[in-house]
Amino acid sequence: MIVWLKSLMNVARPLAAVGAVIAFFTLVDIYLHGGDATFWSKQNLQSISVQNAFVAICALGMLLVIIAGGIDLSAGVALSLCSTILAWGIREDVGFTFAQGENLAGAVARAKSADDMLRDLKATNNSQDIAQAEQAAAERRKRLRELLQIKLTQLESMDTPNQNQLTHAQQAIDDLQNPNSPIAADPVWLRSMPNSPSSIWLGLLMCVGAGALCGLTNGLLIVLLKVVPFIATLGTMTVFLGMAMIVADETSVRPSAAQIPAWLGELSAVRPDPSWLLVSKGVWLALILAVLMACLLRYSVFGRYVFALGSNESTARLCGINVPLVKITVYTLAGLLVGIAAVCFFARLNSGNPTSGTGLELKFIAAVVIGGGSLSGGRGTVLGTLAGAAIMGVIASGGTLLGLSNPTQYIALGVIVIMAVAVDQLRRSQNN
Amino acid sequence: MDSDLLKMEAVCKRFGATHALRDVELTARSGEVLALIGENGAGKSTLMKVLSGAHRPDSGRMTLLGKPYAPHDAHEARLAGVAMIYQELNLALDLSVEDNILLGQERRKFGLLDRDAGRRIAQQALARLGHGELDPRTMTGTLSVGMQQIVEIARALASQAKVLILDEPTSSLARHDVANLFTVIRKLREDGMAIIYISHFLEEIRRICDRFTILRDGRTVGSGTVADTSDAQIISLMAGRNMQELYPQVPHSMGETILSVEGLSGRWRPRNVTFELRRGEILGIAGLVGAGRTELLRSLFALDNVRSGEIRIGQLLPAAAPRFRIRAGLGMVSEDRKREGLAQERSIADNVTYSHLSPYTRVGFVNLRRRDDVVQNWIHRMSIKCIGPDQAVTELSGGTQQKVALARVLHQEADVLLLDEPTRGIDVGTKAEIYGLMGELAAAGKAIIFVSSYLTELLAVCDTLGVMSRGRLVAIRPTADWTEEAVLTCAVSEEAA
Repeated sequence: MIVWLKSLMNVARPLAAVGAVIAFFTLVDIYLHGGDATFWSKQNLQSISVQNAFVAICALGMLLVIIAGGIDLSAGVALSLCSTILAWGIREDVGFTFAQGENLAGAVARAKSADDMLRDLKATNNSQDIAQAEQAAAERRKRLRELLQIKLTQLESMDTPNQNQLTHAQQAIDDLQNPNSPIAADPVWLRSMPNSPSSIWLGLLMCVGAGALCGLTNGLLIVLLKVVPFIATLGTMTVFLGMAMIVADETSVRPSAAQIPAWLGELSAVRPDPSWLLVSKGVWLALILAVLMACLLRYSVFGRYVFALGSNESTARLCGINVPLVKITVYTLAGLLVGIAAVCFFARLNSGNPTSGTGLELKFIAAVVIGGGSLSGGRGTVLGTLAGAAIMGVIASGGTLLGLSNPTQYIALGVIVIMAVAVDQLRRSQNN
Repeated sequence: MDSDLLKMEAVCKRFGATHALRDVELTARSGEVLALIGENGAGKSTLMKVLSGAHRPDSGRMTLLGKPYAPHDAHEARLAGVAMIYQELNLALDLSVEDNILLGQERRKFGLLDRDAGRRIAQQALARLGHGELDPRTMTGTLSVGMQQIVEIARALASQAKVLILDEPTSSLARHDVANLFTVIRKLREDGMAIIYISHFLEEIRRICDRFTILRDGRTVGSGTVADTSDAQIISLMAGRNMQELYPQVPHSMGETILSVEGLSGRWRPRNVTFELRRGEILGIAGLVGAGRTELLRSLFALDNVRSGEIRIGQLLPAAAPRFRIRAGLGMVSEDRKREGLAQERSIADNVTYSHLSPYTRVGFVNLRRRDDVVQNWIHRMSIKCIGPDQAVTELSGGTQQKVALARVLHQEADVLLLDEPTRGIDVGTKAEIYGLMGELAAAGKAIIFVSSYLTELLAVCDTLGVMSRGRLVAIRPTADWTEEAVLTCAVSEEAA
């Protein structure tokens, strides 16, 4: 009976905390704005939830790491690395490239440079080279036409072919028939071309795979080189940042709107479709992952070992637990979750920016800690972590609504993190 | 009597519901060494903390030199003339001997450090201890543990201590350091100092102490002159029961060999250890701190790296990782329950089953209800006092925690139990239960290696007793062939080895 009541309390406490924060902002909002109050509206709550879905997913991974007694400072940058990779995969139409050896944008660029070369040679009047260049340019145009033809076939074979895109492609093919037609650097038709269907799947695989690989790297460094997690992930943080910058060529990766599949956008749509879902699909993804994580932590042997490891690593070793394997798995799973979160993250921004995730790791850690997780390991709950992420989201949104400046919001968030931990400590010392 | 320096009368101290001290009476006289004897948990450390000002007594009277004595902290106690030397020495190892001796009582001249005066005081203190040859400028970290202890005592002298309290001072000393320390203690006694010597080594107490006071469950249960009291009397006063009750004997006999160890050497310790263990055998391992007893167990369990040697369990030669040793039938109870033995924040159920979850596991997931039912059985069988399988281990008493640790190795169905100080820091009743359990396990055909620093229990419980010194297993023979003296001689025989 007491045990049952205790577990009920454990469920109720985080929910009550989120409720209290929401209630606070709602009341202040009504007090300030009266009938125009918008904080307690379906749309605002929907938008808060969708804005923080990716934070929640990353925080679930961080929770696992923190329970195991570790820390992952590279999670924020890994998130932007993964989303940059996804953006790159979409922009480069990787499925098409994989099948044809090059993509349309590349073929256009090459055809244009062959054309430019030919024009330059004509100006200097070098007859022998002109013949060669003419042939090269013609070949480039032919190749581009072939690729366009393949794309056109793909477009026609779609369930609902887009008439606009078809005419664009056809027009471009026809233009290329004329060897004297100029080739634009960034033709309008190219921007309206969608990707091969396989591209998004390959992109997602690369994105999630990169996340898992980042985690695996962290795990291996920590286990094999015996570097403490704080330092190991501090190091990989800048390594991942550098890698993301290489992928993005030191700018940001922006696929065209036509390249991004509509369903990907739905992950971050404020209004879900169908509307009976209430919240966006990205939020549902986070909730499903949360349930899976809760089951993993509570009912799996692995979950038991993670708690053992975080609570006392020496005991784990004494009990014959394969400590290195558990650690590597923990970091890899956390990385995998970062990879999944990166999909939602990309869906929000529609571009991949290598530095967009910098500093976010502190938010993930804060979510776990507000939710009662202990940085010394062995303690933390999924529900608490979700509540932590929600509280931060509500404060950010509510603060904006009330006209609090960004600096004020930062200060409030910092105070809340410290308060949460202090209250938790107090409660624990009273229990003892 | 005017030779009474420090007097405690009816001192009580409670922590919540537990009476750590109840009506404690103690008198330390000038020119006398008083032995303070008691099992672990008898209240010795609380008593020390009360004397040093770390805890305030709830009631009772303390007088020093006839004046009321109620220090608020260690510094005040020291100024009043009560100095305490703990097992873990309190020295800044990166400072010189002189700086350590004067720490907190530096001599000043015009607001600056007066080094000359300081050095004189340090030298005087060392000379009084018969160690005038030690250069006060030596780095403390470069000294042996024995010399570091002397430095701490010199610090006590420099602060004009009248009462010196030594907490198990020989527990980490080599033999010549022990002799040296005893010479120093005798010198101080002649100088009229009152010395309180805390220990449970009866042999040492006979060598150095004049009178004794025995604590049990926070009470003073006896005091007298050492010379007029027999060992058996002291032991039964300490334990509160006679030897028969304390060491219940369960008849058991030895079967076939289950563990054979050949030439086992670790990185540092153990060194070239060879022995065999048979089913139904309780093998005790005695030795000084640092002799390599714990390291022997850790090497057997593959917690420490092994340089050479062969470990055969039954017919198996298991690979070097704890999980393979567990599968081969070894089980280990660590000497340090807090830092290694148990995951303190986790539940009893978790701690009992961590090493053997497979019976409740299907495709990687644990059937928690089935597991808790089994753990409930163990709680019953071992009479573990708790609310239920879900209670966190940290909420349990030391003795109960030890039972959880034991339940784990029994639950994993280990054939060979490696028990490292299994009775350290637990109450006498639980100790007796554990001794009885060891007998029952031996009768059921299990083999036990029992490492302990408490010789009395080894001699009472074990079938065979081995003595380690400097990493070597110097001698191993049936317990009946050993005497306490022979063991101690063997344990300090490092010069011979």
